[in-house]
Amino acid sequence: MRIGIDVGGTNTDAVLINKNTIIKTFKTNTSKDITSSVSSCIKELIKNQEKQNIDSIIIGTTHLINDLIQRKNLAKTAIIRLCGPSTRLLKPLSDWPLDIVDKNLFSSHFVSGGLEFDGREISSISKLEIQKLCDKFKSEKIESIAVNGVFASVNPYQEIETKKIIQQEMGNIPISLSHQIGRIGLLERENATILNSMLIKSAQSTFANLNNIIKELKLNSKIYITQNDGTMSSIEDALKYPVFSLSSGPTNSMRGASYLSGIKNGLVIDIGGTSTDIGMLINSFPKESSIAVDFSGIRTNFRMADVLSIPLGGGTIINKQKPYLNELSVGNEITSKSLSFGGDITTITDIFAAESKTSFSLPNKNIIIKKLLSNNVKQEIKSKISLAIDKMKTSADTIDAIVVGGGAFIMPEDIDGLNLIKIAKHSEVANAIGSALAQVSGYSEKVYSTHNMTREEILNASKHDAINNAINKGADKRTIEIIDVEEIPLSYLPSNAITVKTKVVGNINNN
Amino acid sequence: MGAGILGTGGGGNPYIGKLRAQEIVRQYGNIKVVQPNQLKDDDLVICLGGIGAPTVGVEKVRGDESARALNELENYLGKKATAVISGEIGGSNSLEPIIAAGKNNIPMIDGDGMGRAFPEIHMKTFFIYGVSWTPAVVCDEKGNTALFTKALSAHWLEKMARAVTIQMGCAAVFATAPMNGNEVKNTAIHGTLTLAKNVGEAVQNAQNNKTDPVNNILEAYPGKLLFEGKISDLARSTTDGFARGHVLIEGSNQYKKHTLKIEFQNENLIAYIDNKIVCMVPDLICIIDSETGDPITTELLRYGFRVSVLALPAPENLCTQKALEVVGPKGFGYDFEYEYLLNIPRK
Repeated sequence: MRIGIDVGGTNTDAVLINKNTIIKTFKTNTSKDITSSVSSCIKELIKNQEKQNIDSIIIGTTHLINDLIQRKNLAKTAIIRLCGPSTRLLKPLSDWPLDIVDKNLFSSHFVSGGLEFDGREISSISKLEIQKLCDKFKSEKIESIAVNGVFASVNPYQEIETKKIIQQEMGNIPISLSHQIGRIGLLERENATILNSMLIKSAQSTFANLNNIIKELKLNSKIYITQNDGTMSSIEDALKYPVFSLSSGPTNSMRGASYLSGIKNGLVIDIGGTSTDIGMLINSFPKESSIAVDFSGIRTNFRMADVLSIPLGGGTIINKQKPYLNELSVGNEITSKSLSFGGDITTITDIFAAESKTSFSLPNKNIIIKKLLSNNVKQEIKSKISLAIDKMKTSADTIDAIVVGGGAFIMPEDIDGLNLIKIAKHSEVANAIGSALAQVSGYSEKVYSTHNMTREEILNASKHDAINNAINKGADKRTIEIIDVEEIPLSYLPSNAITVKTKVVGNINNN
Repeated sequence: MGAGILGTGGGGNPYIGKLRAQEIVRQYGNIKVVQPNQLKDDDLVICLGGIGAPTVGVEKVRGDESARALNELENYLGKKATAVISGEIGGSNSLEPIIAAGKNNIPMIDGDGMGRAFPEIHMKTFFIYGVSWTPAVVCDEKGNTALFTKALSAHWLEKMARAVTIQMGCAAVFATAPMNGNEVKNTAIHGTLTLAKNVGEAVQNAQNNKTDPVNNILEAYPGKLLFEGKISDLARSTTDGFARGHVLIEGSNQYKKHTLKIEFQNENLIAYIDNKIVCMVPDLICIIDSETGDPITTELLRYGFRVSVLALPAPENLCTQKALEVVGPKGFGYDFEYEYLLNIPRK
């Protein structure tokens, strides 16, 4: 059996799944430290269950992206580009949102190093130069370091050597190396590496204590964290590579919605307490964004779901005049601040509660909202959601739309071009179901000689290697598909060698 | 973005070109653009562009080398340039002259030598129609300069410059074709900077208004939609300083069960549907993101992308007998003659 947990900004949802059947669901408010809400979910779900039957606990969270959006809990980061005289016109953080660049969070440096496309050195790295930088970083109180070498994907030795030098000077400081984060494309890879470095602190506070829950509850299960691309990683890896788990929520909710509705192609509209995410399902999987992915205005080249997020949810605050919908939500304070819970802030939930249209019962049942205000708010919700849907739809034809999330009750029913699919049960835990259904990935990266193998043979060998890797990690062979193949010719080696990187994913094997 | 579409897969990454141009404008202020017909006989115009493999340019991002290349050529000529012109409008190369124009405070010409992108130097209309290709210089970011004072043909210059570029690390800049005003008027393809801007705006309008980018592009640059589908295979290698290979696209919608194959050498050269040629160089074969209309260059091609393929007729002066010898299929080692396959009138 598996437990899937989704830790949102407002609620934490959880589900216990046996093979593909939902056994039990549970929902609670998100605590300040996510550990206690995760722990109470697990305790609730494993009541009356044999502890040894729980194989894995898979957790998805929006904490990292929320920290990034709110610019909080970010590590003070140094950026070292190993480039020698090359690439210096465009400095690190080029094209980043100014509010984050101006935060005095960064210390960027060009140093000697870098490779040509064929592996020759642009220049060698200088131990002395890096040591001097480390002294500077100590006085600047740098907390995390990103190292990006030109053509490090062709050969990573300069980045690895730089890490050793830094460790000698600065001990255990977290260091992110670009060749472990991204592919060829200097700026996008550098951006992802910097993001990874910045998020180390946020990841530490989010993930580090989760393993204690297992000990405390005396479970034998393993805990996993869901990643941007719908696969999962160990906690150890999530602490080292938080950028890969920066935004798994959209993929999880879309896969959960597909599972609950049985719909394979259509729109998924996930309405939460703080935001509404809209994405397209194609054959039960989220449509991926094809070129660059922006994280809060920062460009990277990750593979992930193409989702439009707008600030609209059950906790959205109502203004006294036009526009009636505030950009802000009361978030996880809904249970103390909103009218329905005895507070003094009017939220969208209160508007619907006054007409008894929420999907759950609330403590304060005697809310009176003027009909005019209520109509105006509903009108604004409709135009906001319609606009967002239009941006995501690929054609003008009528398509199926699955509405999920704790705020689903605010969805207007009369939007043109949509065939609304109601989910009878469990829609409020769609994200948690998506977490529980997280896929297993398999990866292969090897150097092949084109001397005695054809290109087709090489690609096949790499494919089989990646598939075996996925099966060893618990993937169901029948569901495995190839999602990425990258060939890098290593013209610096004499024997016509190429590196082939293949990534595959598959569903967890239930047997 | 328009330059990216006219780049037909090559010409370098337009996003990086945009960032570099913005950085130069930020440092040196706006750059003036003049029409070829405004030039006087005693003007000195120098052609600037990047040289190398676009797959390298996204990683070893260029700096302000083109300003140095311009200065080196001026020093040899003993005369200051009064304007710069792009060798090719396609991709980030269209913006390469901005770097030098900004640093030297001189204008840039609304026109270029290709009307699209091509992989080799001798494929510029300047040389096809008689401008001298030497003196020329190649500069890298490390401070190396190679000056070419004599080359038997533009093709020889290409071969020598390419050899130097590989040693320099496959992402260098190139200054060539010193021209007077008259030569620019007679040999350049006019108005292409404006054309690129119009195509780019067409895509942006489609993105803003949620309309079909393909229609908008075809309004700005009349042509034809060849195919829609998903990238199913990609073979790519960097040999002899070029990104060579092919991409297979599995059809969707009305193209289902058909396969489109595009062969490229930096730029897309020949498109086949089910092994039958449907468009050939110098006509433009452009791969764009089906939904957003963003151009997808050779180095950005990836398994699984959903793309549309457009065919746009090449400008008239690339299709004369003289030009086709250089930029037709035979110029790229194919053994067949150019044929116009787009059954729409050439503008």
